[in-house]
Amino acid sequence: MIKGSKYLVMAIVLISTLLIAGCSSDTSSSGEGDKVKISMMIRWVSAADIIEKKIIPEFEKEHPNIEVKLQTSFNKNYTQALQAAVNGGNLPDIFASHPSLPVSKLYDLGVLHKLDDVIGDDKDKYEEGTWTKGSTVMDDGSIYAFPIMSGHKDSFVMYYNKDILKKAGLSEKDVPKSWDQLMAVSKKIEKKTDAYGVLVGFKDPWVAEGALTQMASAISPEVLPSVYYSPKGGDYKYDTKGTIQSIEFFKKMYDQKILHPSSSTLDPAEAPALFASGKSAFLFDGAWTASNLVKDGFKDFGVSFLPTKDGKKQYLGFQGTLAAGLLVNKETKHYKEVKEFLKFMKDKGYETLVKNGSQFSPIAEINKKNASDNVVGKTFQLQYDTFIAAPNPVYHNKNVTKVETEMSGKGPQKTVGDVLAGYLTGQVRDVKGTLHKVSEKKNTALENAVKEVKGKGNKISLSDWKFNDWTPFEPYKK
Amino acid sequence: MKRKLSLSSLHILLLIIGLIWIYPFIWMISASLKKNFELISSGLKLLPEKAQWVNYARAWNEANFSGYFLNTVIITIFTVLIILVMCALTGYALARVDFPGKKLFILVITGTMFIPKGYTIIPIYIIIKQLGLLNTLGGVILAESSGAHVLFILLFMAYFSKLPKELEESAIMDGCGFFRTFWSIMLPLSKPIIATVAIMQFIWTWNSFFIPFVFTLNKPELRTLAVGMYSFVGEHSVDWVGMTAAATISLIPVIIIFIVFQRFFIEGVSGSVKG
Amino acid sequence: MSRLKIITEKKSKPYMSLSPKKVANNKTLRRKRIWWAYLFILPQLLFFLVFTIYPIVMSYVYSVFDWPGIGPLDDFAGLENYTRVLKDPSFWNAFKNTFIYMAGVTLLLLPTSLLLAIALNNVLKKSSVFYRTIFFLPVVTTTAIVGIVMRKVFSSTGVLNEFLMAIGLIDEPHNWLGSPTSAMIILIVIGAWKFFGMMMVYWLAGLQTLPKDVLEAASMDGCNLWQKLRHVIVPILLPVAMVILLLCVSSSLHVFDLVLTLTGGGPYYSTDVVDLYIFRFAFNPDSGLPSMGYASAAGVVFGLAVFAVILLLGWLIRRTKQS
Repeated sequence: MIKGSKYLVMAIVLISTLLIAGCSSDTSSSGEGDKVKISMMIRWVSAADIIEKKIIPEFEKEHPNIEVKLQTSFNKNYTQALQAAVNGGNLPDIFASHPSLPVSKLYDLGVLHKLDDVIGDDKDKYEEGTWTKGSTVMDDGSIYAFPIMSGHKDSFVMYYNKDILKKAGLSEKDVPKSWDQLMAVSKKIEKKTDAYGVLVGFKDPWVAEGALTQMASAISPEVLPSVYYSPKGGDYKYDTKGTIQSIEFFKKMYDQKILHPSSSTLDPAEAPALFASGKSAFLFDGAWTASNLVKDGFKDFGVSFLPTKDGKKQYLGFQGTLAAGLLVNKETKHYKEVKEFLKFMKDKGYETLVKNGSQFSPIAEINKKNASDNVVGKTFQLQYDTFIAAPNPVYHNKNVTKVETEMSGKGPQKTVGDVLAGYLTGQVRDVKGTLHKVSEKKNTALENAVKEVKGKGNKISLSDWKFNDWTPFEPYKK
Repeated sequence: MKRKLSLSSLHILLLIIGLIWIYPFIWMISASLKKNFELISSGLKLLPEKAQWVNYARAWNEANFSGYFLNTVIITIFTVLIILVMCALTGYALARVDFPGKKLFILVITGTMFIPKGYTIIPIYIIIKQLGLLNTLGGVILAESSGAHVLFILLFMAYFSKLPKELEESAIMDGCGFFRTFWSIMLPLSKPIIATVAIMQFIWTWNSFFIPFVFTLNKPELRTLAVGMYSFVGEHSVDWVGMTAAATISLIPVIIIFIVFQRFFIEGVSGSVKG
Repeated sequence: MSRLKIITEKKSKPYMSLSPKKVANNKTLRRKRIWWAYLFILPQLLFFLVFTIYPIVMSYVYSVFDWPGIGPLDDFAGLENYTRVLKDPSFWNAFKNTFIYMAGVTLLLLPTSLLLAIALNNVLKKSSVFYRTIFFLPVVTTTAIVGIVMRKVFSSTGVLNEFLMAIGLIDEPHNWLGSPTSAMIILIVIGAWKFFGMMMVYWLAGLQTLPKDVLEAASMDGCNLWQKLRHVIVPILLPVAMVILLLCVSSSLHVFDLVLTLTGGGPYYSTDVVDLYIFRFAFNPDSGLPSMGYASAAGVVFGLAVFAVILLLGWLIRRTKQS
């Protein structure tokens, strides 16, 4: 018995050693020919599929000497992995940008490769605001990020279930534009079918907040929704009339059971699934959801702008920030091949992405030609139209990015979404007061950061945040 | 008679509790045979409308399971072996030798159970990089076996200290040295603890996702099953059926290992000594 | 009972060195043993220093810098991160919740898992493989899937509400995970459920240190289960029990995945825990640069607080034992 277990252990060790040896010799022998391997890591679900199954095979056919190894990381671990890789000098050749690790910071650390020769003369074909300093173009005037999607990205829309509308004796004409209409239509639907009116998954409150802040922009357009930045005041303002009234409206929907009762515990992926199975007539969700719904086999739905208080126009500010970009590791051993691939992405990839229902590309012309005329294409068009060029303090002073770095982690932790969730459960009573405190905390953080950056000898002042030449709803020209 | 009755009522009670207990597990298996939206909308129903075996094919291919399986096996076996050896050696020394500094050692390793382990993988990442082991299976194995396995050490220690001293004395009389006494006589007796440690560490390493992911960033072919499984989880959309199918596949070995190894739990000290 | 005592004492006395007679005969042998012991500890010690102590030291270093997690440590912040952590009410809220969770899980888990382990070890020997597997399954069930299922079970339209309404305990469905008071209770119950199998296995391993003849002697002496538990099992198991208690406490203080997938810390921070709080700062997954320095400071504060609590507990246990 004793001897037996000892041999067993030894056998396992032996076998595993052999396996490892076998594996390593495997990888070395597979380097046959002169195939250059480039590694690429991205984090966008819908694009990943298309890149993996369409774009990379096409590219490899055209360039038989290059192999693109794609890896995907869609969840919150992406930042962690990237942090480690930056510190350990182990970045993939091509990797996706992430708002938590701004391009400017990576540029400062000297880990990014210039991409001027990838874009070349096509620079002017890109949508306005693409080449904003600090987002894609760095201090030295060179391009360091390859935009893969339009900057007009991540708006919220309202999806409606056509079948349920029909069952309630309604048509697409009855799709509500104002809050009152939404309440009335929902009540009608709840009477005639067993579906609820509206579904919003806000276990993660940012989903509800995304919808809420866009609704608020119709009431208080002077504050840029989602970032709560007031260009006229030169500060941040969360406690606007728009935000407060929108929160009250959510409460009203909740109290009158227009909102699906499970909403507060649904995660961002579950809500669309419940909507697709007919549990509600309307769904407030991001524009990315349309293609996911279609992919999972639900097609009988339409899309429209979110209803606003009086049916007035809503918007999101486009501040020239990079929504989704590909970055290149400065230490890459195969820049030539990387360049080939990015050029291919630009010349053919954009088109393939748009055609197959991924987000719009940063080149308007391509979107016009290739966007599908189904509900997915319509959703992305709505999203695109929601954005209006708006001021960004960086237009006044490039040191603003330094202030933003300094501020990170020091502003308010409570989000408007949190306040909404707290108000619905009764944990927050004084919405205005709570939001006011959030504003105060954010502005204090801003002031302190400006002081700090100034103290280090940089030219910066709070007035860089002020824009007197801006009118809401009018595209801002630098 | 009365004893039998109470025994069977205990069985019935445990069976009912057990059924509720494993419901989520059964749900996972049934979910792996549904369609993506069906899984969310069908509530807690177990039977799929129509069994979607394609999910398994998809999980196997898309998550690259055939490629990742071997990596997972290698990483897990080596990690378990390293930890078993380290903990058994340490536990044995602590249990049977009164060496200077022993109390301090125990105190310090126990203390670190509560001290935050650093929320960041960065220091370990840099060490592995300096060892030149980034993007290798060796690096993943080292990182997986990192840390002080306080519980395991203490289990071995408690167990070894209970073994009768006559055993060791007779071994010495037979001419066994310190190491041989440990290796040929004492270690084989500690099968229950070896089994416990092996099972726990096996499960932990087998399901470990983050370390294999981060340490093979530039060599995705070295990844593990758990990493493949998480590729179904997106930020805004989740391929639940793919995920549940992948989870089911990757759990089969874990359950087999558990069932096979756990019989060692019941082999008590006295039994082993006699046999 | 007296015979029992003799056996127990004889067997449970830790065996530390060879019998004194032999040692006196051979001092070099003793010294050799000590060297062997050091050699045995060496691998673990090396791993411990490199992979445990070094990262802990580094997190202390990070905590005095304003550091986003990448690039050089060049923005020294002194104790600023610490003062900010100590002044932040949301940190203390997460802190409080973590301890509530820990206490709840530990109180629920320790006795129940011990009882089942004893039952499996002594009463239900024949079918114990079956039950052990059943009760162990939640441990290996993927946390993300547990999240989906449990949110379904406890949702307003879920099974629990249907059941409670059917037996007439409540009139209206209650959103168990969506309301602040019940969310924590449900979280504790699910946490205990998920971790139960693990504890059971530890207890089973611990029960192996219990000599069989002692139990047999106790049975022969006519002890019932309670007496066996009180006078035989518990005293012998005490050292192992302390380890298991520590393990349960330390692992439930670091609960993370389960909270993230079940409630995400909500509603409105009512189930926010420290590891989640730290995670938000260290990786700031939504936007903006992370603040690893601040996150590390929060970790250090929490670690020290936990350490203090454990020391206090140890001291209390010792005092009550003495008196």
